[in-house]
This record gives sequence, C-alpha cells and structure tokens, in this order.
Amino acid sequence: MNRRDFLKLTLYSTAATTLGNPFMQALAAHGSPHRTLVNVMCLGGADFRYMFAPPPSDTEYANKYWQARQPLYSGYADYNSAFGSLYTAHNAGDLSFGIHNNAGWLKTQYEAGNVAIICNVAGSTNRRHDQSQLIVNSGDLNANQFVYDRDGWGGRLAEAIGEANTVAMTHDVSVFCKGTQAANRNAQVIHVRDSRSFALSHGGNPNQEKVARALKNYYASRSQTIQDKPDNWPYHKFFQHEQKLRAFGDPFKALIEQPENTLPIDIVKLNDPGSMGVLNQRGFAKQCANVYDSLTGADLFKLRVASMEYGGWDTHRNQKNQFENNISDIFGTLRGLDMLTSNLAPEVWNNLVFVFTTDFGRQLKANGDSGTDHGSGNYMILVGPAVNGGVYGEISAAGGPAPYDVQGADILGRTSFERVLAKACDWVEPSSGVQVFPNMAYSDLAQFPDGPILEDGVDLSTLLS
Amino acid sequence: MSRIVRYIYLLTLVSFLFACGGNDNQNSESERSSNIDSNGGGEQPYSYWSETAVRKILHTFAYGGQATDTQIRSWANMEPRAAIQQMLTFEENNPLLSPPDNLALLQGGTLSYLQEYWGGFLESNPTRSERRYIYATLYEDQLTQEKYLSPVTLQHTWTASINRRGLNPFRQKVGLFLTNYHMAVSVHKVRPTMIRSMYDDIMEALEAGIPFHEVLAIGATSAAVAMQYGHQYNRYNNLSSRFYGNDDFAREFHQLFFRILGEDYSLDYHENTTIEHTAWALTGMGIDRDPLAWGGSARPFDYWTDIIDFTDHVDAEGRTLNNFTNHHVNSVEILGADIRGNTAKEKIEALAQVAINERESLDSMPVFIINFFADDNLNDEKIAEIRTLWRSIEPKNLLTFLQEYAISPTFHREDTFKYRTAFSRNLALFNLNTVDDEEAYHNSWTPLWTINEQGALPFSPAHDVFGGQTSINAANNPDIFKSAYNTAVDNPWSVIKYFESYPAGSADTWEKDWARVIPANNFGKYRVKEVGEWLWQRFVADGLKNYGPIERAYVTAFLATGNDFGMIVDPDNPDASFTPEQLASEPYRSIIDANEAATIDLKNSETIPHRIANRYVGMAINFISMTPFMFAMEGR
Repeated sequence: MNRRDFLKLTLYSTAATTLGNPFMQALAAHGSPHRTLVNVMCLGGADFRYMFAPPPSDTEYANKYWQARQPLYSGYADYNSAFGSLYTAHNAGDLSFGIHNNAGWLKTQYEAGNVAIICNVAGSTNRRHDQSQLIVNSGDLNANQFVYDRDGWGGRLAEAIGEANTVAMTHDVSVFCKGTQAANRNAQVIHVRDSRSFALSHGGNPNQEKVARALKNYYASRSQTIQDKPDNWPYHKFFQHEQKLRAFGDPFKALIEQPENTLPIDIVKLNDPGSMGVLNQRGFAKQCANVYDSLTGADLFKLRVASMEYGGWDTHRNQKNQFENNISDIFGTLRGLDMLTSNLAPEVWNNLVFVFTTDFGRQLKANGDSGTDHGSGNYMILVGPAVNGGVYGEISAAGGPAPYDVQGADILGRTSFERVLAKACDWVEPSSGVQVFPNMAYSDLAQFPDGPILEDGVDLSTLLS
Repeated sequence: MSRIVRYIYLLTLVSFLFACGGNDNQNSESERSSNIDSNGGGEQPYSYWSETAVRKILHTFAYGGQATDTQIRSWANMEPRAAIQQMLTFEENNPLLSPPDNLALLQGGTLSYLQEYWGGFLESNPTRSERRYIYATLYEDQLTQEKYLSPVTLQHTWTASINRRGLNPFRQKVGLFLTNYHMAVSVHKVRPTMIRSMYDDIMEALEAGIPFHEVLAIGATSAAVAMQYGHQYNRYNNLSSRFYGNDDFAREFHQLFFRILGEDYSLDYHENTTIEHTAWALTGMGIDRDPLAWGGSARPFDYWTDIIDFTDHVDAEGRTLNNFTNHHVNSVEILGADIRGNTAKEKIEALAQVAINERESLDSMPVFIINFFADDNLNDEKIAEIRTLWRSIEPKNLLTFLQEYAISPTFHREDTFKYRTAFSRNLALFNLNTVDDEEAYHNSWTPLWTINEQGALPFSPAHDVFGGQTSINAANNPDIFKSAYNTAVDNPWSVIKYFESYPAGSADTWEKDWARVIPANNFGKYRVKEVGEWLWQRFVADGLKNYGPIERAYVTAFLATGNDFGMIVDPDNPDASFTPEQLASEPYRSIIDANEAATIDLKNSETIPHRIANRYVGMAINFISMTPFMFAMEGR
C-alpha cells in the first residue's frame, strides 16, 4: 500500500471510530437508519401456499386443499397427522391457518404482527420461468421477453428516491436493480457479491503494485477519452465498473474492517460448513452477510433498496423436501433472516421491510410426481416491524373448484403484484409507488376498470406504516 | 469415420499442409507483415474479409483457436466460404484450427475418449502422470481410495479440451452451447457421465451432418434430460387414461429446445393441449441402472446409466422397467399436429420434425443461437437477415448456419458487439497464451477455477435449465470485473508464467518460449513496438482499432522494462494519469519512442535473460487482458 492509500484508509478509520457512546456506536455500526426495502426474489416459482396450509377441518377450503395436495404429504397416515407434524395453527377470528414449523422465525414475526400475507396475488401473464422472472423483476407486465438489458422496479425506486442506490447482494446484478439510463443501468447500483472482498486490489508486493498502479492509472487516463463515445459503445460498462469499485471499495473496506464491525459469529456460522447452523444454500448465507455489512455501510452506499435471491423453488418433484429446506434457510429459527435481523440495531431493523417475490404461483392440485406444476395466483409476503401484519384477501384459492380438482388449472390472480409492491415503494419513499409502477396511475378501478386489479374487500392502504 | 481411419486421414492432411508451409515455426520470421491487417492482395468477394475478420471469427466461435499466423493469413487470402469450411468444422480434430507440434496428438476428441485417454495409463498419454487423476472418469479419493464419479473431472476435461492442441475448440464451444445453454443439464441433478454421453451423442450427430431437429431430438430423449427434469418417472396408465408425472420438460421441450412459447395458439390450447400432451408423450422413459456402469463406482447414485431402453425389460441392476407399457399408447395432438409413435422416442422424433418448422421456432431459434455466439446488439435488420438465413437452410443444419453467418456482413458490422462471458474471456486468454504442445498438455493450470470464481462453470449452468452465464450477465456484473482485476494484480502467474518445473522442484523444467510464435522482424529482432502490436492483435483482434496512445504507452513500458509506465516517467509520482495529448508531447513522447525502439531478447540462449524477456511479454499480456477491450469484441 502506498502512502496516499494508507492516509486515506486512516481517514476513513478515524471517521468511523469517533462516535463515542455505545448507542451511537450501534448506530454507526449500521449507518443512519433510513427506510430500506429488501427484495428477496425466490427463483423458480415458490409455492408459498405450502407454507400456510389450513388445518384439516370441516371448512370447504381445508378439505379440498388436503385432497388436492395429498400426494405432497404421502408420508403421513392422515391429514391431521401431517398438519400436526408440519404446521402450527394460528387462529385469528374466523380465520385459521397453519404456518410451517420450518419457518419458525416467520411464525414469531407473524405473532409480533410483522407479517402480511396478501392472497391471490399474480404478476406474470404466463407460466414461463424466464419471462415471468423478467416481468416480476422489471415490474412491467409488458416486458419484452427478449430484452434483459432494461430497468427494474428496484432501480426505479432508487431513482425515485434520488440520492439512493440499490445494493445487489447476489451473484449477478438482476434486472430488479437496474436503472432507466440505457447507457449506464448500474448508475445507481452497487454490487456486493462478497462484502469482505469488495475492493480492487492495490497489490501486496512490488510486482503486484506495478500491475495495480498501471491499471489504476490506465483507467484514469483512458476514461477521459471516452466522453464522445455513443451510449451503446460496448466498453463503457467496464469503465463504469472500475470507477464504481474505485469509489466505494476502499472506504467500504476501511469501514467494515473496524473491530466493532466484525461480522457477528451467528452470521458467520450460516456459511460455515463445520457449523450446525450452516444453511443448505450457503450462497444465501453469504447474502445475509452482505446485507449486514452493507447496512453497516448504508450511509456510504446510500442504501435504500437491496436485492437478495434464493433459488430452487421449481418443485415439480419432491416438493416437500425441497420446499422445507428452502424455507428453513430463509425463515427458520436461528437461520438466515433470523440471524441477520437479530444482529441489527433496533433502529435499523425497524426501518427494514422484506418483500418476497417469485416467478408465479404453482397449481394447487399436486401432480403425479409429489410436486406441483407452474400456475398463477400466489401469496405474497411482506415482513418487517413497519408491516401491519395479517392476512389480506381470501386465504382460499381463487378460481372456483377447478384449481382443487383439475391438474393444469390456475389459482386465479385477484390482486396485481403492482398494488402490493407500489405500497412497499410508497413506504420507502412517499409517492414513489406510482413512479415505479406507472400502471398505478390507473388504480382507481371505478374510473379505470382495466387498471391493476385488487381483490374485492381488500384494503392495502394500511399495509405499512 | 472410425478412429483409425480418422487418424490416418488427419496425419496425411497435416503432413500435406505442413509441407505446404503451414507451420509458423518455420515461417514466422520471413512472413511477418508490416501491415497487420493486410488482405494479402487476393481477390476478395467480401470487402471486409481480412486477417482481423478471421481472427474475430476465431475469437467468437473458437475461443481464439490455436491457428498459426500463417494459417490465419492463408484464410484471410482465401475465398471466405472456402476458408470458413476449414475454420469451423464439427470434426473431433481440426488440425488447421488447432495444430499440434506432435502429430500423434491428433487423436479422438469426444469427452468420453479424452477422459479415458488423459485419465488413463497408456504410454502415449501426453498428460503428466501426477495430473491424470483430474481427468479420469472415476475419481479416486486419495484418503479412502473410494472411487466415484466426479463432476470436477468432467469439468477439467472440457476446459482442457479447449486448449489442448490437436482437438477442435469450435466443436467444444458448440458442445457447451447445446448442453449448458440450449438444452441445459446440470451436474447438480444429473451424473456427469450421463451429461458426457449426451454431449458426445449430440456432437457425433452434428459431425455426421444430420438435420438439427434430429440433433435436438437426441438431446430430448437422452437419459441426462430425463433425469434433469424428472420425467424418467412419468407414466401413463392406458387403462384408466391417467397420467402420473410432471409437465416440466413438456413445457421446456417447446420453450427451450425449439423456442416455441405458444404465441400462435391460444393460451388454453398451449397449456392444456400442447404441453399436457407432450407430457403424455414423454412417458415410459425410465433409465437403466447398472452397478458396473462407468467402471464400477462405489456409490449407488452412480449406477445410473445413459441408457433409456424403450421396451419393457429388466435392467442390469435387476429392476423391471415397463417403458413400453407405461407409455401413452395412442397418438397425441401437439402443435396442431397428430403425433404418432409407439414409444417416447418415436413420438419425440416425430414432434421434433413438426416443431422445427413452427413459425415461432423459425423466428426465434436462429436469433437465440446468434445472440449466444456473436451479437449482443441485434436490431431488427440483423434479426431479419439471421431469420432469412436460417429459413434458407433446408433441412436445418447448425454448421451451415454458423459458417454462413460467420462470413456474412450481418456479423462483420461495426454495430455488432459481443460481451465476453467468464468462459469466453478466460478461455481465449488461456488459448492464446499457450505457445506449444508441452505447455498445453503439461500445464499444471487451467482457468477452471478462475472461471468459477467469475460465476461460470461448465456443466453447472448458473441458471439451471435456462443456461449458463450469459454475456449480458457477465458484462453487467461488476464483481466479475473486480475478480478479473484482482487476479491480474494478485495472482497473474498463470498469464505471466515463464517456466515450470514438474513435478514441482524437479530439474525437469518447461520454459516458456514466445519466440516460437511471435514473429521477429527482418533483422531477426523482436522490437517492442512490433511485439506490442502483435500481442494486441492476437488477444484483442481488433486490427489495432483500440490500441491507442495510452494502451501503447503501458504495453510497451511492460515489454521494454517490465515496469509500469507511470513509474518509468516519474518514480516520485508513479500514480499520474496521462492524456493522449500529453503522451504526444515531451518528455513522454521520447520515453514511449525509446520503449518502442527497444528490443526484447526472446532468442537469448541463457536461461535468466530468456526468462526475463518472456516474463515481460507475460506482463504485457496480463495488462492487455484487463483493458476493457478484452471484455467485449466488436464485429468490425
């Protein structure tokens, strides 16, 4: 490290440690609390209905549910034993449903009033993974199925906020994060695939330093010569990457390497193969660590939107095992989000909302392979202290008897995904929802009957506060 | 063609070509051209056809290839259609694209053969003995001596097959496309040997020139695909008319294999007739198991074979498979056609013939293929030309399509560009940085784990059945850039390496010798200016379009001094940046001139100076590899 870089790091370190008392240190360790949305994209079409099964009873929905899904629970003597083993019942007035025991943290959050389950939500217009993911990530029902180099609803939210960035915690930067500037869709995106290895190297010996210096100076020199290149000049992106990494890498490294910003052992263990707490998908553990560290650097990053992903929800086969492993990682007690959120300062946690999106819902009737095939309507889940918990809409499957009886039939969508996500945007930044989801300008169904649909009797105005 | 006949044929062909002067080792000094982009004066029906155009094709379709400069110039001087038929072939070996120094290396090129050969103990095996285990079909645990199938040995084999001279990197790139993108299967769900069989079967079919829909049908009826999607368990009870199974592949057969989304039909028809009936067609596809399959793995999960026997039978493990009985016996209606067949194989073959001629497939399939290989900036005009080309080929032939496109003005346009994936950037760097057989076959390093660090891995597609890392994914991913950058800074040995002892510490040493391929000038010297341009053209292949004054300053500084330009200019302020105007003025101009005029001692017979010279070349390559111009390529 040369003298100039050393001085820079010292300055960052000093800034990060001058906040005196423990309370302030807690805040400093997680940046100033701003309202922040974390989108967790569940890739493959998550059957969230499986997480909230009705207790077997005399209700028509419960009876039909268990008949239609019997093949998913084939290891149990009867429906009651399956439900008793797998779910814990919750009763709220006339409403009764179970939450899967592998989602212990979610259950706790539900009991604390922090979980909203919005029923019969649909986004995609089809059952194709790639196009559906594109629609959901872009927040655009009319997304061109061939165009992936486009903006997403997270990116538009960051733009609506203004001085804000979307931080991608994932392997790739998804469409969700990208902005509307065609020449630089990452203009308000920071990619933190590995928060503990985020910066460009300066080298550690004279030979390495030669290369580091040459590249740094080359990019600094060459970037001054490309101003007149057209927007679609293919090499812009790499100059942009270099500049972004150069601007944020060293300050972020200096910040999170402060002793008080050590990654909590609970979060480290999520990704430690030798630990009992290791997640089935260690990539998600890494993302949890990235979120924690990025919240530490929230001020530096201007973090207001975050992107996480969890794959493996295309449960055509053996849904039970696959789904239960997945929800255990994300929602389980002492697992991913539990460990992440329980290590955050209260002020930070109070300003976070997790939104869970997915390609599409799955059919209610099980297929012949102990799984479920692609469908439409689904539950959408929001979690966070700002969420006014409860069930929004009819918890049974919309669409009459067909979804229960006919393989191939959809659970109908009765609430547009735009309705829910726009509310989440409005919570992050007032009035941003209609900017991020332009169709929301037509949300008054009395005036615009073809606007984004909303299930009868459902009021999302108090979804978040 | 049998292996022996092929071997004799190749030996004869290569001997003839070498006799005609196709070997750079004999000709590099005398044939150096001062105009690196010269057409050589031949009559060219295509105005853009040039050495750079040839190099762009090699970068785009063959990870740069290993063709000699002489060969590249020869292709540039040929009629393009004749040249492309030599450049891009599906043969297991293409001795013009990948000429070995040792003609005995022109042996089989299927992945099965290569795993057996490189991982085995034949005396002729060119792989270092202590490295053979990383290619073997059965991996042997060093502690327990347990033998089992490992995805890693297949991944190493494929990666090495790109680089080892005497094979055919174009064939392997097409193989990757078909099994990792178009008909993607993953080692996370399928045994590696099953994927290998699918890969080899598909490539053998392509090599034989059979129509593309039949090639796709081979993939669709493979054991690998049946296990990937789980329809190996699908069955139809013809008595009760009930289907048991999932519709996963029934959908993806159309969407992924033939690019049919059902837009020409009602949603209801597509979902409840085409897809549902395709699921019925895909019944009776149980896969055989055999405890002795693949050489006898200790792990029962490895007993899965690559065999789907469509009859009712008992497999080698003693399981009864009722593949005939479990198949939907009647014809099915799919895509508006009556699809007949007594087995899933027959029905899928019949369906493939219908699907390839669907309007959506005709429109989308060729665009998808070209988007994968060559162009991230397709517009309506180019798409129309690509579709016209595809429709003109009957029956559909992938090789003809790629060859015709590769020489077409649709590709060689200024507005064509392709971002490089972790595969294409690292493998091109790997190929072009390899200078002889010994390096190719004995190198202790392949970029497999570098590629993996950058988000890609063969046979483990990042998006599962939707395929591996795309070029748009890669270009938009700052972390890949960071990873490449930090590798270039902290761990550049694989690029800069100028000697290697093997086994480590032994006196048996390989020495990098760039003089084998870099042409000396007419005075037998390696002048920095010329070497810098040659390296840029080799690795970037843009006719020096982007080799501007700033690139020139840094590349020549490394070549001439082994140091960075800033340090040479001012050791007290090595972090300075420079404008092109500054570099054109003093004192910078004189420094650059002096560097360019210097010579590199690549022919020095003393070990240390020879190593230093080769190290400087490696440092320049390492720098070039991290410029933006190695992360994307323009069409012209």
